[in-house]
Amino acid sequence: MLPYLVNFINAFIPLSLAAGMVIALISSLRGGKGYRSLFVAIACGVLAGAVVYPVAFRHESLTSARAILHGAALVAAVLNAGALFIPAGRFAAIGRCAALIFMAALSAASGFSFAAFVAEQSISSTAVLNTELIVNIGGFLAALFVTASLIPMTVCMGGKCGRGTVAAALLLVSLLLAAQWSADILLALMRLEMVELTSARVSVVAKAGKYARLLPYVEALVLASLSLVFFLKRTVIPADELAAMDKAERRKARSGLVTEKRRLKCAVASVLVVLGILLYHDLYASRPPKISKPLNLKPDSEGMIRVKIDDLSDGNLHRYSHVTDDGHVVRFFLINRSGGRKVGVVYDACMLCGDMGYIQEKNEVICIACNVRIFVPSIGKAGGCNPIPLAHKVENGYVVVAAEELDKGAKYFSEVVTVKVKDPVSGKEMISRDAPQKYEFKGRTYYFESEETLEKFKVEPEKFVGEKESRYFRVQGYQGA
Amino acid sequence: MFFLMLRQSFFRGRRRKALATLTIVLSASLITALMNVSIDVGDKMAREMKSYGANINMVPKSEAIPLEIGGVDYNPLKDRVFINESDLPKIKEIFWHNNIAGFAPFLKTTVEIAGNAKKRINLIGTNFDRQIPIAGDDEFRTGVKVVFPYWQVKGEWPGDEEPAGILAGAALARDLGLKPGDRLTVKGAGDTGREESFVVKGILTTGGAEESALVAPLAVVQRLAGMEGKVQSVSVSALTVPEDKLSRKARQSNDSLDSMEYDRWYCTAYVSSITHQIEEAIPNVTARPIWQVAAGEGAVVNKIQLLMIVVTIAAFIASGLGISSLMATTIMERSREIGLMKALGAADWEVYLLFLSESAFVGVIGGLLGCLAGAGLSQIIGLSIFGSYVSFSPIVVPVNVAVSVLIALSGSLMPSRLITKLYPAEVLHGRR
Repeated sequence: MLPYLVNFINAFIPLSLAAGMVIALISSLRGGKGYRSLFVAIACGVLAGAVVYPVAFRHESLTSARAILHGAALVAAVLNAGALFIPAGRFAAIGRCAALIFMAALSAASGFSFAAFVAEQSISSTAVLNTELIVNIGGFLAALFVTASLIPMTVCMGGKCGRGTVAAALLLVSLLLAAQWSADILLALMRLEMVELTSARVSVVAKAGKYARLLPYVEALVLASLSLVFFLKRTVIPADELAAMDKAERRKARSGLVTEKRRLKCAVASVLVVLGILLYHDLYASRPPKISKPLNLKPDSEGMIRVKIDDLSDGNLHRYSHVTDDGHVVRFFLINRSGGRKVGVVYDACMLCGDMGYIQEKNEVICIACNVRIFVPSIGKAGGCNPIPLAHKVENGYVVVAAEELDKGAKYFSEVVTVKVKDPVSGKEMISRDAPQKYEFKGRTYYFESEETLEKFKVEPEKFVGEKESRYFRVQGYQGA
Repeated sequence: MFFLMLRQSFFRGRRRKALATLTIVLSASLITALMNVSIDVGDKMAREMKSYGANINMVPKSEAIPLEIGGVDYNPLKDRVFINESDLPKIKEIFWHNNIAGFAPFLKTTVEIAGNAKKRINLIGTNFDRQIPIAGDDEFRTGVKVVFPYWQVKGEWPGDEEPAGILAGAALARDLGLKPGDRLTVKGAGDTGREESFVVKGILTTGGAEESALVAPLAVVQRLAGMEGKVQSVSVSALTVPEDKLSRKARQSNDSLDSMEYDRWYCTAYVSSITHQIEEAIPNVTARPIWQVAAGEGAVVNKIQLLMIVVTIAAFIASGLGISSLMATTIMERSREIGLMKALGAADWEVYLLFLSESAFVGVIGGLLGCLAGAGLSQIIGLSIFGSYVSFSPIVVPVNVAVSVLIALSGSLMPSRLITKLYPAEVLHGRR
């Protein structure tokens, strides 16, 4: 339910805001008549966007279809923005036309993005009517209700704010959308190999993609600020003026005040609802499951880490970590894999999926990255999505893991912490983050106090660090067993 | 003010409102009953598709050719092609071998019980809990105990290595009066069949066809049937990830996937990719997941769904018409009140709102009562079609209330147009 609700809101909130503001602008000119054509334009646009997606999907031209839609929307947005600067009252027809085109293009883009979301999800796992299907449709309808009700709210709020404020707000929303669309077009052009791929362009696209998640929040805040202006410009009738009025007129004035207050309350409430839904989804519901915090173990004087087998008899997943000399955090876990005392000793990483780790839910061990259930008796063996096996020994009731062995697996993990390191050449101690030079040798990172020592090291590294086996690459995961 | 008026007007014309509620209760209970049955099965199917384990049935390729005409199997190769038992460890050598929790081979043959030549029964050979040598794993044990954890044995499980131990299916044991510890001699089919004698170790309850058969260790049955090293089918139990869009696409046709999708599908533990890998590993077999609910109740539920749609439309129209006539009378009766409201400055839409919210309220009450009645009705349907009770799905309540409100509103919409035609002066003078 929640994905449908949130994605619908994300896709359509700019449309409903822009529609509300356009209506507010038009009705300030023409006295509130003639926005039927506007709704027709929106309906046609959404429909067109929703139809384009499956057609483009079939012809395997999604990227170009998306780029064309966004390009059209971009042009329409620019036209509309230009029309906003035409003084009120003159060439009103041009302004209306531009607004209509903008609405149609914007709704096509929105319809396309929601159709893309729906096509990627499955609304129900079977064709037979079931709870999941109904709940998903319910989420869709709720989102439709929320976004549709934003239109009259925006009209009400905007109607009182004055033409200048509404036009500024509309410009802001268009600008945000235009930025997103341009980044999208740039990405499409690079994908279609029509412009050259450069790191600057990629970084622009990546940044736009990163901040696109914030757009719905900004748009909700635009409505909030319109409500704030509405509040500042609210009608206030002094008490003596009210007392001087006729009875009937006074009732009318009071009723007007009450209505205004109700509208403001409604608008604030709907902004809060939208923000609440978005925040709940982004901060809580859509987060992937997290691994439990590993227990950090230090090797003893022989460079061995020992874990008592009796501690594992509860059948739970026991996660430990070890920090290597250069600051890599190596996680591994132990689990009693069959009723007896057989213990699976493995790195907390998968050769296929990387170092997202494994979690235990009731009796099942799950690979977080791909959601596969791991057959517990098979933990400790290589293959499939199983965790990478870790070489170990069992000695009088203890599982013994060599720190050296864990060090070799450091490349399976990406987490690096700041540690105290030694320059292998001069022996000077420093903090790894502040080290002026670093150099990777056999998969291990070494830190140097100056370029001079680095050069010395590069000439004959074995002299300083000795003959050590190099660290495993992830593809070598199964050789460790 | 609005709510005050609504509350006051709600307690007027109670008989008519009771009648309107009854109309809605009738249609709502019908819709609830059918919807509840359908959703119950739909939820079970969805759960099956989303579960993290599946059973796979593996048979020789020729066996899977459908040649059934009028319910009779005409496949000439049926029961003549077999899987080599020595191929089975290959199941544990596929890419997802760690996700194979276990497998159990089956070989079925027909035998006669000595001294009861008329009675022919099935003798099923399988592994109960046997150690199978697998490369890199010397302690892999598998058999029906792993694959079918719900099989229950009264008495004890026979060992795979002792040739005399046997399980008797519950239905068969009832027929023949067998109990654990009894001795039994069976004779292979045909005149040349050999004889073997067994001790019944336990009585087996499975809920399937095994209940009317004898279940013995595989090696014994192979010897009896003269088919050493052969098995007919294999049940494989696998840990899987739930079906999603990619796996459904792959199920339609492997060719529809592009190379990247194919890689992702192959490297994800979908039941379809596991069956595909089993077929790759063992020559000439077909592996199919067993969707139990989809195959059984799923077939009936499609008809129920169609029925539900028809009934919903019919109920919608019928009770909508009923409500409509009731509403028209109400408005005519209360025309003076409406005239007064209008004279005091009420807009048309405010009067509409009053009447429509009244009927929406009737719809809510009718819908809730209809859910209660429909819950009972769905039990009757469930008992008569599936022979089991149907659990009540809570999602039916909001859907049904929404449908009832829709019925009430759409029924009232037409007559409430009369409101616009009432002019205060005329009504208050009693001219209309």
